[in-house]
Formats: sequence, C-alpha cells, structure tokens
Amino acid sequence: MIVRNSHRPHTDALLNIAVVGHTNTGKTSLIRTMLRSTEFGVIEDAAGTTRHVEQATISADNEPILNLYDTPGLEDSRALSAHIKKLKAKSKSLSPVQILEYFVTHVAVNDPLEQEAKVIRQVLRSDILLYIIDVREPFLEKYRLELDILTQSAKPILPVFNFIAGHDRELAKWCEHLAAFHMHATLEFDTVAFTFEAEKRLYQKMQTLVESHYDRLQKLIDYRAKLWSQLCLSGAKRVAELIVNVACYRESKATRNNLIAHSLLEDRLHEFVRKAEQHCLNDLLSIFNFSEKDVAIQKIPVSNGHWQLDIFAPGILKAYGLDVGSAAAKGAAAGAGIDLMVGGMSLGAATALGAIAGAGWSTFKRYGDEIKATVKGTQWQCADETTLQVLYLRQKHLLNKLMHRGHAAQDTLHVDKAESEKLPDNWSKLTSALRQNPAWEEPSVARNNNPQYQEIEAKLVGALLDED
Amino acid sequence: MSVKKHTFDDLVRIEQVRKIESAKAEDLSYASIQELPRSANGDFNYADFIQRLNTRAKRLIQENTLNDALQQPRRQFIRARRICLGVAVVLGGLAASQAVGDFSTLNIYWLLAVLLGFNLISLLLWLSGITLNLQSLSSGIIAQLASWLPYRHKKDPTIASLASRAWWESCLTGDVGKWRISVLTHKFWLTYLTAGMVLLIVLMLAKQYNFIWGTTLLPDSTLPRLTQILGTPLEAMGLKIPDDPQTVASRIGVSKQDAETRMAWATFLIGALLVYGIFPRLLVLGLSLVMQKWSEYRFKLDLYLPYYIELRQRLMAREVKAEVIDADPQAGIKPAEVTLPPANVAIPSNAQAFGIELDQATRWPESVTCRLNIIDQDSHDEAIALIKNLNGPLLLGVAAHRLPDRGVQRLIKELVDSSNGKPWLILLSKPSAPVTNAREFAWFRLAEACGIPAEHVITQ
Repeated sequence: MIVRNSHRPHTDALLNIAVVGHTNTGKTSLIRTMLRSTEFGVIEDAAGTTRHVEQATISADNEPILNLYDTPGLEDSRALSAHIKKLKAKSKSLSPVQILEYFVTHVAVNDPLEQEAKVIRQVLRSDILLYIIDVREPFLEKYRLELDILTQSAKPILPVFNFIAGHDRELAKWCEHLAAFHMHATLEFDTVAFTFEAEKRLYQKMQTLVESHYDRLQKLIDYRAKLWSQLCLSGAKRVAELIVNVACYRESKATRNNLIAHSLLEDRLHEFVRKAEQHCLNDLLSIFNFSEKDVAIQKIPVSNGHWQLDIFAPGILKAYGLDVGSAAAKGAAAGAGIDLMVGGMSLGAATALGAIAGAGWSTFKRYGDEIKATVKGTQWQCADETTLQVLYLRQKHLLNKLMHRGHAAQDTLHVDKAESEKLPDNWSKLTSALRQNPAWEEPSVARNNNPQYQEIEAKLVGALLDED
Repeated sequence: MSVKKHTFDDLVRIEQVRKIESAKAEDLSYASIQELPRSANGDFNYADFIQRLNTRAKRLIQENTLNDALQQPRRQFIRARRICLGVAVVLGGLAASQAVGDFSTLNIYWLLAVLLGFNLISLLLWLSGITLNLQSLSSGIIAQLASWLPYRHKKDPTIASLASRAWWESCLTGDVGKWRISVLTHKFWLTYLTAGMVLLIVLMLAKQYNFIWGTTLLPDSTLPRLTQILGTPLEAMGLKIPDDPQTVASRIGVSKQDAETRMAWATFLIGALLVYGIFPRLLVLGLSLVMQKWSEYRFKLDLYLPYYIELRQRLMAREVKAEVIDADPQAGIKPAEVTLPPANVAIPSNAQAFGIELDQATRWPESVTCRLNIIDQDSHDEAIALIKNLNGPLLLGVAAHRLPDRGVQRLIKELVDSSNGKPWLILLSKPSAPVTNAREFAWFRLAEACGIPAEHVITQ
C-alpha cells in the first residue's frame, strides 16, 4: 500500500557510500550509471569538474536503500599527506581517525587543501568508500598516498576499476599494488562498457562489507535485476515487433508486368521498411535511455538518430555477414512476389484441405483474400528474405550493444564484429509463417492471443536475448 | 499492490487514443498536454502510469473534440444489442405462436422442443466452447466477425473508423470479448424464452387449450416417463404436475380432458420453461456478467507496444533528486583566459630534460635525453637539487594525454621556482593515447599558472 513507508527508519538508517578517487577517474560517471540518470552532476574531461559533495539516493520500488556521495577528486595527495604528517607529529596522542577529524574541522575556506578536506569530511561520515581507479594510469606515489590517507579513516574501502576495456595488463598491475594494501576484494566496473552483472557484483561486495544492510541491498539487487530483465525484454519485444511488422507486410500488384507500376511498388516497399526500422531504432534508443552522445561512445552506427547506412545500401549484406552471391554487392533487394501457392497455402496442402473441409467460414476468413486474388489475378509483393535477414541481424547487433552499453574503449580502435550475430533456428519457417499472416502486421488482441503468433514471438525474443 | 484507480472504460479510451494517434498523429493538436506535469517522483508504478495516460488521453480528447467519435462504437454496440433483443422478442413470440397453432390443442412436447430445444443446443455449444476454450464456439458468429474486422481494415482509416476498431479490439476480442459476447448471447436467449413464455401465458389465460402429446418413432411409454423425470424438480418446488393417469389421458386422440389435467399440464409447461430454460440462462448470464467484470478488471494494456514505451519514457522519466551538501566556495568563478602557445616552438639546444610522472611508453624527441623522471618524493627532492645548479635551459616533459591536477601543478611550480632561467614545457604524446584539445588546453593553463611563458610551451 502507499502508506507503507511512513514508519520505516529513514535516511539516517541508510547506508552511506562515498565515491572517492583521484580527479577525473569517473566518480560522477559511476554514480550516474548507478542512478540510471544522465542528469546527475557534471561530467567533463577535465580536472576538478566536481568541486562539491553531492548526495543522491538509490531506492528500490520507492524504498530508499542507500545514499551515494559524489566527492571532488583528490588532486594534491602529496601536500595532503605532508600536512597530515605534520599534524601527527604535533599531537602524538591522537588516533589516525582523530587526526583526520582535526584536519577537516580546522581547514580554512581558502586553504589550497580545502577540496581534499571536503573529501575527507565525507569519508568520515560514510560507511563504505568506493575508491575509483582509472586503470590506464600508472601506479604512482600520489595514488599510494591517497590510499594511505583513506585507510587512515578506518572505513572499508572497495577499489573499483574503471576504463578496463582493453587494459588487462594495466589492470593486473593495479591489482598487484592494491594487494600490498590488503585490498583483495576489488571490482571491475566500467562506466563506459556497463554490464548489469558488474553492478550486481558491486552491491554484493557491499553486502559482505556491511552485514547489517544485507537484506536491503538484496532487495535492491532483486529490484534492479527485475528492472533490467524487463528492459531487455522490452527491447527484444520491440525488435520482434519490427520483424513481424515487416514480414507480414504485403503490397498487392497486378500480375501483368508493368515496369512503372512495379518500380513504384518497390519504392513503397522500401519506404515502408525504412520507416519501420527507423521507428524501431528510435524506440530502442529511448527504451535504453540513450542520448546521441552515448551512441557515439558506444560506436553504434547511428548518427542524429538515423542509421548511418541505409538498409538498402550496397555492401550492407556483407557488413552483417550475409553473402548471397551477386546480391551482396547490390544490397538487399526489396520485394519477393508471393502468390496463392507460395504465400497462402504453403502451410501444406493437407492443412489447407482440412481447413476447407472443416469450416467454410474460417477458411474463407483465412484464405479469402488469397482466393480472391487468384481469381482476380493479383499478386503480392513483400519484403524479401535478405531484407528480413539484414533487418534482424542489424537490430540484434544494436540490441546487444545497448544491453551491454557497448564494449567500446575510448582510446583503442575497436572493430565491431557484427558478423557474429546469428539468425535464429528455423528462421525461414518463422518468416514464411509470418508472411502467410498479413493480419498480424499490426498488434491486436486477437493476434497476441494467437498461439502460433505467441510461439513465433517467443522464438524471436528468445533468440534476440540469446536464451537457448 | 497499489490501489487500482482506473476503470476498464479508461483503458479502452486510452487504447482508442493510441489507435488514432498511431495513424493520425499529425491531425491532432497537442497544445493541452504541453504543460502536463512531467515526471513522477520515485520508481515506475503501473497504476500511476495509467493515471497519467488517462489524464493525457482525456485532455487530448477534449482538445480535439474526439468524444463523439470515441463514444460512437459503444453506442453502436448498444443499438445493435437492442436490435438483437428486439429480434429475440419477435422470434420467441413467433416460435410460441407457431407451436401453438390455431387449434385448441397444445402439443406439449412439440412446444417444449421448439422453445427449449434450440436453446439447449446453443447452451451446449456455448458450454463446450467455454470449457474447451474454443473461440469460435463460445463467442459465436459475432465474435468471428469481430476478429475478422482487423483483417479488413481500410487503407485510409478515418478517426471514427480507428476509434471503432480500437473499441472492437479491446471490447469484443480476447477474454473481455469472449464474456461480453457470452452475455449478449445469454440475454438474447433469455429474451427469446421470456417472450415465448409470456405469450404462452397470455394465450393460456385467454383461451382454453387441451394438452396433448404424441410420438411416431418412440415407444408409447417414453414420453410419460420423460414427463415424470422432467417433473421431479418441479414437484420439489411444490408445483403440481400431471400424474400418470392424467398423462396417459392426454395421449393424442383421447379427446376428453378435465380442468385439473389442463391445469397440471399448464403448470408443467411453465415450470419446465422456467427450470430448464430461464433459470439456467439466468445462471450462465450471471456467470458471464461476473466473468466479464473480472476480465475487464484484469485487462491490462500491452505496455510493450512501441507507443506505450515512448510515452512511458516521456511521462514517467524519473528525476533524480540530488542535493549539494558541501558546496564549492568558489562556484561560479570563471577561470582566467589562457594565451595559446605559438605553433612549432623549437626545442632549445642543450636542454636539460626532466620528466613528470611519465610511464615507460612515453617517448622523448630524439634530440633530448631525459635526466630524471619525477615519480615520488625522493625523485622530486633529487630533481630540485639538480635544477638548482643547472647549466642549460630546463625542459619539463609531461604526458599530454594525462590530466594535470593540482598536485602536478604544485610540483611544476616548485621546479620552476627553483630554476634560474625561464623553463620550458614539452607535451609528450604516445601513439596509443590520442590527446584531446581540452587536455592540451589544461596543460597550457597549467603552464601559465606556473609562470612558464606561452612561447616556451612545445606541443608535438
């Protein structure tokens, strides 16, 4: 019920997590990823972008779970360390934590270490520290000093490696150095190449660090997992809808060979496929909350919200690993003519005959148009096999990129392996079943309740999400 | 579970607006939904979303005066239902009057067969359809038409046709449709039976009938036995039914019939119609009504449809509430302008080069040898000592792709301060790490802050 939150312990009981690290390691990015929001904070490729401490709350199903604190970057750890050493020498009776407390309460507003003091102040107020590391950096003395000071706060530290894609060697080196600080429980969490698994592990690590928040964190993990699978399902369903939409589409044409009429028809078909694909692209980007900037980072072949390569462009078949002889050079063709025998009744003569014998009405309902067309001598034009294949492969590739937020590293050239996507089993069976059911072109209750349709949709969605 | 705030009609209206919008979006005006409150606090909630969709739909309908078009299909359905029931009254009356005929005798089983027989067959069909979940059997011809309708959709739909299609789809197909059609069928038969019965009662009030029965194929004992069997529940209800002698006396051809027998037969006839016709119909009608309400209650929008996905992002985009708890005292102060270094600054001859936190991959130009790479306090102290008595210009090498922080800036400032002449700064790059303009700019700013003149900054 709605009032359930009123008597729960509130913010004071929440887990407080400070995100700390050197400047420009991606602290704000991490928080944005965790919040699923591109509105939090400011991200810039410069030192000291975040110069204040900012708080945001993560909740699961409207129940607040934890507070995240974005802190300014530690920039001058050498000066900070020297300053603290001085304080230590002055008052030997104080414990390391007390020295940090003394430091933050006595720092002047215009002190050069004011920004560092902000970080330490927040560190002392938090339960867990996420120490963000840009693994592309060499392990320098300044990082060692940062870790020294943070350890002094006696808070559990969870090192989080950022920018790991393509930097395995550097990552291994960092792990080695951290081991010297008794930090073995590290986490790889690339804010650029995001995977849901990594996020889950982040929360699981937190669970082991603060036992008392175990249940709440579990709730958050479960909630996030649910949302994530819904998100992926939405995406896959959207793509399946596109495939159905295009595969079921047909234009009728007169059998008499009229070149002008034919090319007009072809154009209409092209236009339809393009529009449908464009619509699907927009929806997918919006489902996964992608902005144009993210698209660029993920190296998705999309610019200004449009595919860079037209679906009927030459060479597209090859890009998706489809080599169908001469067609590969020309690009996907558009139409394949189907008539009664191919389109309507290829379900099998037995089925068709059975249907005719069984119930006149339903037979007419199902095959009425086909029979009428045969009598009238018209034919249908529908999207051909290769068009459908490219359409599917391209969407699947896109969906994969969106689901994993790409694997694009910022400073290495990354060649996309679009060819790795596979068509689902029984692909031709699926598409031919769709072609024979032009009524399924648009969603309707009747369609969605049709067991045959449900089976096809389930197969497509399963294949798109690689659930075999 | 949150409290359900929307009705089935709301959902149907939303679906109608969806249909219209997906085909005719350009014909609508959207001014009234501009200032729709943008987003909800907190996480996604189905009821909340529907609420928002509903508000949006209502505003759109009002703005574009769609109400008539949207109400049209419902009105048509109601009209069709009235016609249907009217037909049922006529049919029921006709059936009864046909069965009675002009004579003063009533063939009891013929009458029952006419009034209850078809009813029974249709009831059995409906029952088997519902239990076996056969769409075509349970919902009959109307549902068949309904499911056929989307197949027949026009190439150029109008707003009215879109509205009725959406209405048909959500109200006459699927679970809701199945039960709605069932309700309609039961009402039809109920009216048919009632009309027949009322006519019979009227006729029997006004005329005197002798009740007879007869059979050609069946043995003579069958129908009396059937009377007994059919009469058992009637007797239980306290109605008086014809006893055996009365039944036998009513065999066709036996002429005389007394008032008591007539009365018993009339009671039997009305009772049988009530118990075997009207009561079961009422029962299944009640069931269908309940099931219709239940399926309407359970009716959910298909939120995976592109239309809803888009609206969901627009109407339900979550705002993250963030607050600054430790503000920046220098917020709003703009950094000073930076003078850019001239291009192609040459490396001074006999330069004494020192590296600042360089990694192994960073390459110096051929002509320069690095004397020391400063990475920690010790190398820092060593460098200061070396720089103090240096003969030749001081050249500081930094990795251009890395970010200058305040620590680095302080370090360079110290080195600059301890040197005698004007030091030089060189931005070193490595092929694997491209340098952005912003990064170079940060280094220029640092040079200026440390007192290195712009013409002493070397970029590669």
